[in-house]
Amino acid sequence: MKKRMYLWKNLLVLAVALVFAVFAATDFLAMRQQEPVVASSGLTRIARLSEYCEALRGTVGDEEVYMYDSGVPGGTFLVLGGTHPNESAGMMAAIAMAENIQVTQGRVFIMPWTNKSGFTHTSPLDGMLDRFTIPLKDGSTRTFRVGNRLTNPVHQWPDRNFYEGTSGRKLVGTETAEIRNVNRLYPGNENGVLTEQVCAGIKNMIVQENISIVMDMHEGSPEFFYLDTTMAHERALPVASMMSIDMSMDGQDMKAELSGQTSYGLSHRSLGDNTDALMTLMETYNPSMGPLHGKMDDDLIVNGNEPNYYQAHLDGFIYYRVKPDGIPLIERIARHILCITRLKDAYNMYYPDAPIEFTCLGTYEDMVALGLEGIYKPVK
Amino acid sequence: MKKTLAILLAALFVLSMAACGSKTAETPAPTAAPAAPAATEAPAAAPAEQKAEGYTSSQGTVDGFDPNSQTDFEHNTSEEVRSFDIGTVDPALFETPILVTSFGQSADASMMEVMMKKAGVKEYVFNAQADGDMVKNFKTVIIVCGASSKGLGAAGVSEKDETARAERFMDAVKASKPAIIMCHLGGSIRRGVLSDTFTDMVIDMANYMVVVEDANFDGKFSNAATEKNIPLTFLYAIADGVKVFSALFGK
Repeated sequence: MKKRMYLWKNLLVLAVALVFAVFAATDFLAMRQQEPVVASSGLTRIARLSEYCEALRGTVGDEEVYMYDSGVPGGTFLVLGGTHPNESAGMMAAIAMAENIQVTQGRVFIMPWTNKSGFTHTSPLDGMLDRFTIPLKDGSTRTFRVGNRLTNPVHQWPDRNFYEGTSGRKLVGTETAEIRNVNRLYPGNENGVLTEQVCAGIKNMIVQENISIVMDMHEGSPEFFYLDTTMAHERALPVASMMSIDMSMDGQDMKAELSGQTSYGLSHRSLGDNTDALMTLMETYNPSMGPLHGKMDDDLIVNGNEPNYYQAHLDGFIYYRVKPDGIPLIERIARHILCITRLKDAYNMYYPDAPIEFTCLGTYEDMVALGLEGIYKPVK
Repeated sequence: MKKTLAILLAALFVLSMAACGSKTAETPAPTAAPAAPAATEAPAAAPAEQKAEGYTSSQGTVDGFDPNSQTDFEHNTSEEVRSFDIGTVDPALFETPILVTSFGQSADASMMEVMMKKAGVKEYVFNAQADGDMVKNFKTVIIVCGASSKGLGAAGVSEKDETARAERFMDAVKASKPAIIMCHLGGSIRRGVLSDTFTDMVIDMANYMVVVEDANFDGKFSNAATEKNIPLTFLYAIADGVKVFSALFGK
């Protein structure tokens, strides 16, 4: 009798555990649902990264590349969003471009989820928000994920104690987890770990498609030194400098900085060294990424408003000029898109024989006036 | 008792599995613990067994400058007042042809070249590593001061080489006596031991200074303008230099 009671108790505990496990698993697996993109009429085709790296076929790394080909000869611009899925403005700007761009000369390729695996999980123990929702003008809503900087360990494991990428960067000590960071493993390796294969696919695509210029969109915590800065490979510096002055004349502070010679594995260094493309990478301010942020909620992600950081700036501990009301996501998205537009203009000035022409959402002020609810299309 | 404790622990374990991955604002997340370094853009510490030249920290390698130290001070420029003059510059001093060069190899020199293009200046030569023997061919020399280890690395020169080039260049300036414009365009992040060394070399011979005012947190440039009687224009942002150089060279 006693034994039977124990058995029932144990079964009860297991049943309760199963209920919780089902709920938790549903929540975790929901992260694998990719947000839809309502591509603009200029979309020519959606390619897959496995076309450039066969090893990616059938894996989570077989990522979408939205291709917009005007049919008029010219250069090609590659836009990378979502290299770090916790840096929301990157993915959001890429999706906004994919939904609104019209290319009239040359081509534009857009990758909204450059680390697609990273979007399937969040940062453990950080109380990280996993998605946020925005209302649209027609009353419907769209939900976007906030992922993790790194590839999901479910897709690539283990993190080795020592790993040398093809750039020569040695991932050891505090950098062992960076074996799952797309922006540390360029130019990639088709026979390497999954993240490296993604890097190899991107590098191969740049070479095979003769891509002229690349922008890798990022965000940084308020403590990061190079916010509102575009890092440029030395070949891209004249174009990036012209863009910087043009953005400044648009009223948007933007600095241009040289990519470090020893920034091995990062896109602006290692893709710049291993392809003919002009490589650039841009950072905007994201308070949800720093240690001083408070409650992780939609307000922090969408409105970019963290009073702790404003106070830290007033107290002289944060160099970046934090605004009293923060910097909302729409402004950061608009800044990324404006930067890409001005880069394109500068590129055309320096390379008039292979221009790239496109329109996308107008000026910075136009985009901010439209708001998030105006730049994203309803999903039917 | 033991069994009760075991069941409680098991329940807590199960609960913890469901506690991760918070939803939207309707189910508020707990206050985030400080982010682990890998979750931010903060640089990982350079491990011991790297290539001999070391890795460039993602935080940059601006010499001696602590980016998060307090540099707030009263500015003369603002979003409404884009430039501010101390003294009066005589444009007649600055004839073409013009040489634009860099002391320190920062990206600011590239920005200066863009400004010359935007200002419509045609008769200029840009050479970030110009040596002293070029000086005699020019009537005006613009020296953009600001050290960057990234820039030095890209140029393939050491700090010692760059300092030696700057010294040779200034010796040639003393001999040929072109008009000199000292530009410091990188703001407070471009202040430090090496940057200031280059700046001091040029200030002594400058006929005019153009400085993004953020760099003047300790009064270095305003004091030099006053003490050495050198006209100085402060800029709010680097792009505000386009108007200045357009007015200066647009004869």
